[in-house]
Amino acid sequence: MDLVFPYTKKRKDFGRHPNFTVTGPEMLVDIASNPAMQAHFTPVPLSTVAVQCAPEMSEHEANTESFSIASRGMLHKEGGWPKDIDPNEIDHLNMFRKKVERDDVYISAVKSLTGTTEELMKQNDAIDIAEHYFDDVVPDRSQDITQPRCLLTLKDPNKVKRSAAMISWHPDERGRIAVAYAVSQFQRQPGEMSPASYIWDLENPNMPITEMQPVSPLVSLQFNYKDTHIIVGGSYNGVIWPLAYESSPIEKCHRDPVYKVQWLQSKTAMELASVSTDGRVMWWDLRRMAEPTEVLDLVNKADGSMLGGVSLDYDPALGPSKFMVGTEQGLALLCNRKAKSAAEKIAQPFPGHYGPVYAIQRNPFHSRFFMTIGDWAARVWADDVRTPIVTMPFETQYLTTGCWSPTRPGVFFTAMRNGFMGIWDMAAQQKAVKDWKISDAAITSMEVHTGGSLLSAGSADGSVAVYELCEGLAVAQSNEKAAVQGVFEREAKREKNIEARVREQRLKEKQKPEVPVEIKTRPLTDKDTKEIEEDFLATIGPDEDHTPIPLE
Amino acid sequence: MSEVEDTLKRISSHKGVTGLIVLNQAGIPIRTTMEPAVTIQCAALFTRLCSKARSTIKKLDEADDLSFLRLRTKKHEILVAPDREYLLVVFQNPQF
Repeated sequence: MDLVFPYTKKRKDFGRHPNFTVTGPEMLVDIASNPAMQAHFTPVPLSTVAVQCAPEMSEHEANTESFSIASRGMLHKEGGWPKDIDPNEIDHLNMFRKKVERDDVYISAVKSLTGTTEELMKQNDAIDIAEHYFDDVVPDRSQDITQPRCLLTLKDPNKVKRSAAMISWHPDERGRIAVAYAVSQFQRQPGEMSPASYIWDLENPNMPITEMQPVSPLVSLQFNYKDTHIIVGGSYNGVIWPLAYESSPIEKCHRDPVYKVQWLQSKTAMELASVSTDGRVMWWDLRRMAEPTEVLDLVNKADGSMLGGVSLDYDPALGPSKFMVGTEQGLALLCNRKAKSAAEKIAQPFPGHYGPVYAIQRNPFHSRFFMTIGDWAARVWADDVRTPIVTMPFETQYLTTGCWSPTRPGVFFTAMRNGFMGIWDMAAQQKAVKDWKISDAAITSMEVHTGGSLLSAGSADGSVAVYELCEGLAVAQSNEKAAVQGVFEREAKREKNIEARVREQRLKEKQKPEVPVEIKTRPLTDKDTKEIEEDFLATIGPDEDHTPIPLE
Repeated sequence: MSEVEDTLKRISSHKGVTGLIVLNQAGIPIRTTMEPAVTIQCAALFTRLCSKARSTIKKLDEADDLSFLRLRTKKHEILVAPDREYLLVVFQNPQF
């Protein structure tokens, strides 16, 4: 129905000022509610509306694809002969040559060129402009130390990432390293983790050249220095695993991961030693791996407890029977294999670290001194002094490993848990020369090539980076050996003096006779009491009015 | 023609000269006193080296140009004289 309000207006009323009147409300339409319709509707008392007043952002990842490089050579066979001449026909070539030689341009060119060339040739014959002028002055480059240059990074090709537990350089060829991969945290090994370890050739960083498949992942490995096809590895379940030889039976070998294996210097080069945290050092012969040739239990002389071995160092300069073991308890032990009884085999413990001694190594130039790495600092020790002769200042991070430089007597490298590498120079100064961030993850292994200029560092995410050290760090200076020796001797003497003094003090105290101190006492008499009272009152002063002040 | 011959002969008989090659820009050896295999290899290598050196100098300064290239090696000295069309390479072992 329409809502229409018709009204009429007379013609004479058009234009007249309208008179408005107030009228009450007039209902025009009334539409009542229809209860029957209500059944069609459902009440929705609550509804949730999500409102956010923050800017919307989305995350995208982009990465360049890694590409593989292959080297190919090109052979240049013949020059750019013009199209009509066949390079195989010698007559054609000769004719071409004769034609060129008749060319005017050729003649003038040859004349001018030979003119200048002849001048220089005569110059060359007269004096040697490229001789080495200052023969006696060797450039001293030890002070300009630049950042190590990363040559390449080798990534673990497996999907499940393991940390690079140990690296061993190939003794002869410069370009090969063997890397042992393992996850060292207890029971953190994922089920699909492959136990393989690889040998890489540095020319080909994309794929390893050899894959080693032991039963259990290798925690340590080393190339045999004589026959470089033999590699021995110590695995996580305690078995010694040589490549291409039979491995030791699981009953006879270690019960804990074999943290270090090292070849011994012998004529046959078939003997090796292994150390593990189960407290034993074992010697093996590669030809008879059925059982170890010798076993040594690491017993702490002070309290008889077993020590777990974490690192081992056999230095040929000391002789075939002496070696060093670094333990989990923080002691470094100097042991003698040829000693008569088991007790004497562990000659001397060197206490001083607060945590496991992760690396221990003799100085390759001065065999009386060795370095240990553990907890937050590196320490240098001398054979005859029980306390460290030099302690590096404490770092903020744990030190995981370290090694001496094989070419410079006073330089050693340390690796830290936060991916930094520190370089220390004993001859120059007693603090870190430089600290560099090598990787984001913790550095788990570090080895310097025997040439001294290549350093490889393996980190906890499985990547191994090879760095080239600058000449200042790789090449030894002429008097460095003597300088470093001087530093070590001086420090050793200082420690010895301190020790001697402490011993003297202790001896003196023991020898002092016991003098009983008598306290003279006598009973207090009345006279004494009065005397004391008078003294006391005199010191206080004249008596004042002592009436108590009333409190209001 | 014979002057060219004379000049080249004079140079190759100079004190300490072990070899001489004349090349054109295409890398074709026109005159050589060394073995063919070595000559061809040198032709390839030195034309490339020369053009690279020339482009380097031109990039640094447009008006400049390569006038001579002298390579002192451990064993001998190699003198390379470039021209617009040709290239003269002399191997000399200085005697003094």
